[in-house]
Amino acid sequence: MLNHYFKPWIAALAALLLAISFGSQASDRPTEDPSPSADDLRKLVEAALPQELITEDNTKLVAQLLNPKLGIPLSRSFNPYRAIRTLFGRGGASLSPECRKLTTPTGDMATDECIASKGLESGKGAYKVLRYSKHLALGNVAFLNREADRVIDPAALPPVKMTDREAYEKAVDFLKGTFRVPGEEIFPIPAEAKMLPVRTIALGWASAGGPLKAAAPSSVPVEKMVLIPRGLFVQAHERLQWVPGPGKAMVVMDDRGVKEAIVQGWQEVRPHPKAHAENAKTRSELVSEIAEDIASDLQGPVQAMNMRLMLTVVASENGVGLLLPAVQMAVLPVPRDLTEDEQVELSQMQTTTAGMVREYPLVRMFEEFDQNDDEPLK
Amino acid sequence: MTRKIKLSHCRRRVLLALLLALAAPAGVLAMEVKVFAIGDFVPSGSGGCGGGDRSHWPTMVDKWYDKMGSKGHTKDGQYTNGNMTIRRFCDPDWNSGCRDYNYIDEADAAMIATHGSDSGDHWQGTMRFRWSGHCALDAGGSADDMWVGDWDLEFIHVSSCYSADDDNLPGIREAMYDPYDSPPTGRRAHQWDGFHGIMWIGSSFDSDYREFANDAHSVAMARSWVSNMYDGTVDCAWYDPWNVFGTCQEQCPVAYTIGTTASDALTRLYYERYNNVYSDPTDRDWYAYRYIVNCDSVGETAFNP
Repeated sequence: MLNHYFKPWIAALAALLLAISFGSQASDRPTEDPSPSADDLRKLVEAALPQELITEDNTKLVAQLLNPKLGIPLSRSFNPYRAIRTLFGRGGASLSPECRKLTTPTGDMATDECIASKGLESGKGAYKVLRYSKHLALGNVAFLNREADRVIDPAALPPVKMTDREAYEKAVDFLKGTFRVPGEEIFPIPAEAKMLPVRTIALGWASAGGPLKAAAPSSVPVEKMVLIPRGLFVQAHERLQWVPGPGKAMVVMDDRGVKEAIVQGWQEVRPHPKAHAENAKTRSELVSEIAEDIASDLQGPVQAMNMRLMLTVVASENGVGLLLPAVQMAVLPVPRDLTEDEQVELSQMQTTTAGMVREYPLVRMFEEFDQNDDEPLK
Repeated sequence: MTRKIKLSHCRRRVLLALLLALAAPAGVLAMEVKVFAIGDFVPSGSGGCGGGDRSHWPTMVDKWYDKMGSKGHTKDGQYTNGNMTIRRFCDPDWNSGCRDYNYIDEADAAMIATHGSDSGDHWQGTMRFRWSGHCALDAGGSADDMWVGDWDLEFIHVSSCYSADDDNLPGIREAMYDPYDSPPTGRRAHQWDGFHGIMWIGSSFDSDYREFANDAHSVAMARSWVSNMYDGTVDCAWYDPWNVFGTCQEQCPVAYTIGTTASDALTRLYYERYNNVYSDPTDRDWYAYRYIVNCDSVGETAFNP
C-alpha cells in the first residue's frame, strides 16, 4: 500500500533531481564539443587553400619559393661594436664574460647570447642592454632601454604624437642602420595598402565604482609598435610576390626614442638542398595530409581555416637555416567577431576556444620532418 | 685602552645574515615559479571536462618556465595534464577542500594554460576533471572560486582565451586578493597578464613565451607581455600575410595591475619586473592596464574598455 501511494511522488522527485543536476552540469560544463566530420574537415581545408595558388601541379610555385631573393645575412653585416657605439654613446657598455665563450663545454656551437649593458639589470635603476647571438647566423639581436623607476603621475603621462608613417620610417631606418637588417628582406608596403604594420600602445586606468563596476576608464596612447615580419621576394603569384620568411623584427618607441628593438630568429638561410620542385605536393595530397592531421591531433569545433604560404626553417647546419616552402594553416574554433552576449552563449555551449597554427611542407622530402614533433616521421 | 669586543659564533652568523640582507638590492630574490598546462583534454564521455586537444600548448608555456629557471629562479612545479582540477587554483575560503596554497598561490609567479571563455563578467578556464561539481575555474568578477595573492603569488600569467577581455577588466582584480585573508595580512597579487579574445597555439609562438620571461628582467613585465605576445598576422587572407589590406585578426595581450591609487597601479605597470618586485598592493581600488589600441582578436570585437 505504501509503495502504491508513494511511487508517483518518488518518480516525480527523481525527475526533478535529475533536471536540477542536468541544469547545473550544463551551466558549469558544456557538453562535448562536436568535431567536424572527415568530409566537412576536407571541405574546410579545400576552402582555405586558394585554387588560384595551390593547384594539382605546384612544381612552378615551389621552384619560385626555392629561389628567394636573400640579402646579406646579419652574420656578415651586423657589427656589434658599431651598434654599441651608436646605442650607448661614448661611455660604451660592459660586455658579459660569456661573450668569449663561443662553444659549449661539449664543443657544440653556443646558441646563447652576448650581452652588452649599462646599469644593473636588477633593481630600480636605468638600464640599457644590447643582446645578440654569439653566432649571428641565428639572427637574434635585441636592444632594450629602461628608465629608472619613478612615481607615475597619470595627469602627466605624455601622449605619443608621432604618426604611424613616421614610426614606420624610423623603425625601418633603425633596423637597417643600427641592426643591419637587410633591406631586401623587408616587405615593401604597396601603394594601395590600407594600413601600415604599426600599432599604438596605450595605458588605461580606472577606479572601482563598486565591486564590479568602474568609473569610466582613462587612457593615454604612449608608444608606437612597428612590426616587420621578414619578407622574401619570390614572385609566387601576381597577388603574392612576397612570402613570410623565418624571423621577425619589432621596434617600440615614443617621441623620445626607441624603447625596444628586437630582431628574433632572422636566421641566415638557404634553400634546403634536399627540397626539389619536382617533389612538390599536389593539392589533393596537401588537403588529405592537413585534414588527416587535424582530425587526428585536434578535436573540437572548426569554424574556419585560413592559410599563409611561407618559407620556414626545418633544420639548420652550423646555424644556417634550411628553407622549405610550407603552408601555414590557422584553425579557428570560434567565429570571428562575437558580441558579449554571444561570448557568454559560447561559454555555455563550447569548451574549445584556443586557435591553432601549424605548418605543412609543400615539398615531399626524402627524409620528411614534422616540424611540430621532435622526431622525423616514419 | 682599546676594548676588544668578541662576538660569539652564533652572534657572528646572525650579524652576517643581517648585513647580507641589508646589502642585497630590493626585489632581486629568486622567485618560485610554477606552470599549469593542459594540452590533452579529457572527453566528457571518459569522465572529463571536454575540450579539443592542443598538444603543443604545454610545450609552448614550458618555454617561459624553462627560461625563468635559466634566469636563476626556482622551478617549483611543472603540472602538465594529469589531475588538473580547480582544487589547485581555488581558495579554501570559498571551499575548504581547495588547495591553492599548495599549488598556484604557493608560487611567486605562475602561468596557467587551458581553454578559456568569457562567462559574462569574468574568465572561466576549463579543467581536465570535475572537482566538487566544477569543471570550470571561475576567476574575477562575480566569481569566487579563485582568490590568489593572499598566500604568496605575485604574478599570474594566463595563456588562455578571454583571460583579459575588455569588458571584464573591472573584475579581474577580484581574483587578485582574498576578501577574508587579504585585509588582515595585506597580501595581494600584483599583476595579471592575459588576452582579449582568443589566443593561439603553435610552435611559432614558442619564442614569444621564452622572450617574455627573458625581457621581463630587463624591462617592465607589462611591457614584455604586450610586446612579445602581440601578433598582428593571424587568420589573414592568403594574399595579405602582413595585414596591409586589413584582412587579418590579431592576438591581443593585456597586462593588468592593481593599486590603491591610479598612480600606484600605473607605477607598478610601468616598472615592476621579476627582479624588481614591489611590496604587495595595499588595496585594489584602482587598476591599470597596458594594451594595443583597437586590437581586434578572433571571437571578440576590437578592444574598447
